[in-house]
Amino acid sequence: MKLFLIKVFTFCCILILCIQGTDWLVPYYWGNPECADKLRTLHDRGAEFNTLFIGSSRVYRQINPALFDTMSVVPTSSFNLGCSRTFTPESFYLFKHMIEDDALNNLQYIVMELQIVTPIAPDNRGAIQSQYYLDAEELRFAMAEVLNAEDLSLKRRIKMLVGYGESYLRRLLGINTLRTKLAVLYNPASLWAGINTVVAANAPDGYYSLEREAREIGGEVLVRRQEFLADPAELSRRKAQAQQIYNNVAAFHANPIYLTRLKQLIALANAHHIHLIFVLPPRLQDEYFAELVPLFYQLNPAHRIDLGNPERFADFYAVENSYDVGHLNDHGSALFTHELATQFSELVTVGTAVTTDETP
Amino acid sequence: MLFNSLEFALFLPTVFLLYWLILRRSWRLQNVLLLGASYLFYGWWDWRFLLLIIFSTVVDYTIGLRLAATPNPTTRKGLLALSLVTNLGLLGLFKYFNFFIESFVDLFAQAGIGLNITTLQIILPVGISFYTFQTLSYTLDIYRGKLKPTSDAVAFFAFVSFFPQLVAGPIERAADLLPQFEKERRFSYAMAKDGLRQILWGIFKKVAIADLLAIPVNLIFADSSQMSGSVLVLGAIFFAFQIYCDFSGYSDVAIGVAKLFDFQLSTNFVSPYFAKNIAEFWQRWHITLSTWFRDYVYIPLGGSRCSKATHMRNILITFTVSGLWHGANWTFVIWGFLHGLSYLPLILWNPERFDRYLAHQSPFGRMTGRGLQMGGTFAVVTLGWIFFRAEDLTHALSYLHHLFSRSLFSLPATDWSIYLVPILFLVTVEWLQRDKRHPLQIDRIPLPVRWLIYLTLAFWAIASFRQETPFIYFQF
Repeated sequence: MKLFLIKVFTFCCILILCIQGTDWLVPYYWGNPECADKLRTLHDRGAEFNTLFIGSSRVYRQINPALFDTMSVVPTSSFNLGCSRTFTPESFYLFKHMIEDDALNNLQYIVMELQIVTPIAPDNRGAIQSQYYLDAEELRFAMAEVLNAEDLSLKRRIKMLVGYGESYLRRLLGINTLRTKLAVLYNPASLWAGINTVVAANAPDGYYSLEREAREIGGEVLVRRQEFLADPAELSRRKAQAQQIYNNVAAFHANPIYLTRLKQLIALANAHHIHLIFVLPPRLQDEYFAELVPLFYQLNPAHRIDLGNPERFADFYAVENSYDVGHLNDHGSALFTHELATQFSELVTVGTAVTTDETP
Repeated sequence: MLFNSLEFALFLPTVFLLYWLILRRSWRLQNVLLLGASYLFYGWWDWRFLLLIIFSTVVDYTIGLRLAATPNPTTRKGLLALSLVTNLGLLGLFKYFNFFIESFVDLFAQAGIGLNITTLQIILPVGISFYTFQTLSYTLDIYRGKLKPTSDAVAFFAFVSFFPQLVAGPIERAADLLPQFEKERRFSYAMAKDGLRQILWGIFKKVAIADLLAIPVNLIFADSSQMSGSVLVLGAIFFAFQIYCDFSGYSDVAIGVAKLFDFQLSTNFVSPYFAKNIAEFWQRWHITLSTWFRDYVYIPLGGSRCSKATHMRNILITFTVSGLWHGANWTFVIWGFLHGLSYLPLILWNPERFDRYLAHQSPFGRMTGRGLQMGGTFAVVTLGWIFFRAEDLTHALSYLHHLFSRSLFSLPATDWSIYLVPILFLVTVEWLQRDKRHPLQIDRIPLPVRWLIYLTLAFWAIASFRQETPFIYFQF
């Protein structure tokens, strides 16, 4: 029995090593085709850009690099690396690899969306994008973050732990992922083959607004627009909830695990002479704000920009500036980019000397 | 729970470790564990399915005890009838009710009579055909005096629901499997090792071959009216290997998993596409089902010890019923009937005469003759698979119509050769290892090479994995 178990264990270890060994052969972004497509542009023209925006569709659809560069008081040449459904900890994984990326050797500023550690829905646990970034460090972080979150219900906590655990196991065993990795290895172009070519061709700085996509492509984004117009009340609810959280920020606690990780990322960026800034975006669901707002105020002011407070930024919650409940339209995005550039300019001109914590 | 799922990859080692490390001193407790694990495995699909299997088990357990205790022939017949009505009634209700109602309505509609009978919205419980036949054989064998009933309820319940073979066989006889639940089991390194190798081969066939071939098969069958005859031939051949790898892959995993717990299940497949005629095909394909039909349908009908005409009738009935067992659709009935029809020449002309003729030929002549026999049998079986795979009779006939057209001899416009690679690999391996119970019985090869083969197959299977696709035979 003992011999049998030892042999089975050894076999499994060798098999897993072989599977994991393929990670060395593929680029770090192999599981996110949209991001891969944008990084391809960056690799071709990496030296042109000194500022990157990282995050989900809230970055991708709302930050206009061309406008940002004209508004910024410091000279910037920026690129929008926001990608749909790219949340924490995936964005952290991309960040830590990107700053080591030799092709991106001109970076001075990285603006990253502040997000919660996102639950992995049961249907998505087998998806490549839910697995590829889950190395041991990101798994440890996600698990510890969930275990240390104060306001999570037991049910949600278990769901999140199971979600991350299952996705990690799948990645470890190569279920779904190995085939994709080998396909990328065999034909690197297959990585971005599924990406909409209109987006790739028409977004040289990575920005492609939802309004523009609705005009040029239509499809699912049009449905989202119609659904929002039919019932915009959810936006008012989000605004009210966000305001309540901002007004009572002392009642919420920052997750120490998350805060430590953010500080580590800032330190890592500093070591590479990059100024990392976290942006708190508007229109998040209330439980997101409850977790992120206290965290945000624990960060060094030199590394944070608030764009989520409904009292200060009422325009970002206005129906006329909206595309759907979670995103701004072209006009709203212009306002958003303008405000971001203004606050960014203030931050970088003051520099990292600002270290005192500031709470509202 | 599917064998090719992450859940099962966690479930199996957990049950295995509990079974051998915690409960190894008591086979009764091991039975309790197996029963609980089997119900968890089955309830993973839908917990309501458990009610049905528990009901069926309780009925047969009780009837089995009563049958043994009652010498009165009338009472015994009544008890047997009760078991048959209960088991076949459940099968009929859940599997065939809508089929018979719809066929009845269609029949009257053709005679110009409109009937308005509503069908039921019933979910087909996974594996119902398999465990129903397994429990039926228990009461039938007790009734015939071939088997003594067990008084160990846990052993019987565990026998009926034994998770490795619960949902798609092999269909075990109580006389073979039940005694294994009623004795102490000992861990055998050789058996467990062989079990793991068989599991690996089964998973490989399912994931790397069957699921891959499902891609062209689905494409070709979905759009068969637009395909050339030559592509339709390829579609049928691909399906022949898809269903073989899918089903025999499941059986290999089931047998392999059972070996891990020191259970020996029946062999279900022996390289069926190397059969020289239809009779031999059925001695190699889904063996536990064909022997079930032989023992409980064909022989009671009179078997072969009767006139040629009655023998032929018995064959046709047995194959047609076997076709219906596979699914509630006329395509399965026709599929079974066609197999019966292709069996008839063997009754009219003794195939052994051809074997004797070949024995007197040169080695090349014998090889050619055997090759032609195998090729001919494969062609007949593959034609039958078209009915098995088609959505309905119209689809099957349309497929055949387009297949036997002028385009049969045209070159396919698309290159499908990539799908022939795993088929050639499978056929070569099975041919080279045809004397073994499964192709991974390779003890004579040096250890490092053996491990390299295992790793390559495991890596290949994982690299081929697309999604957790259910096994085809689950629907039966």
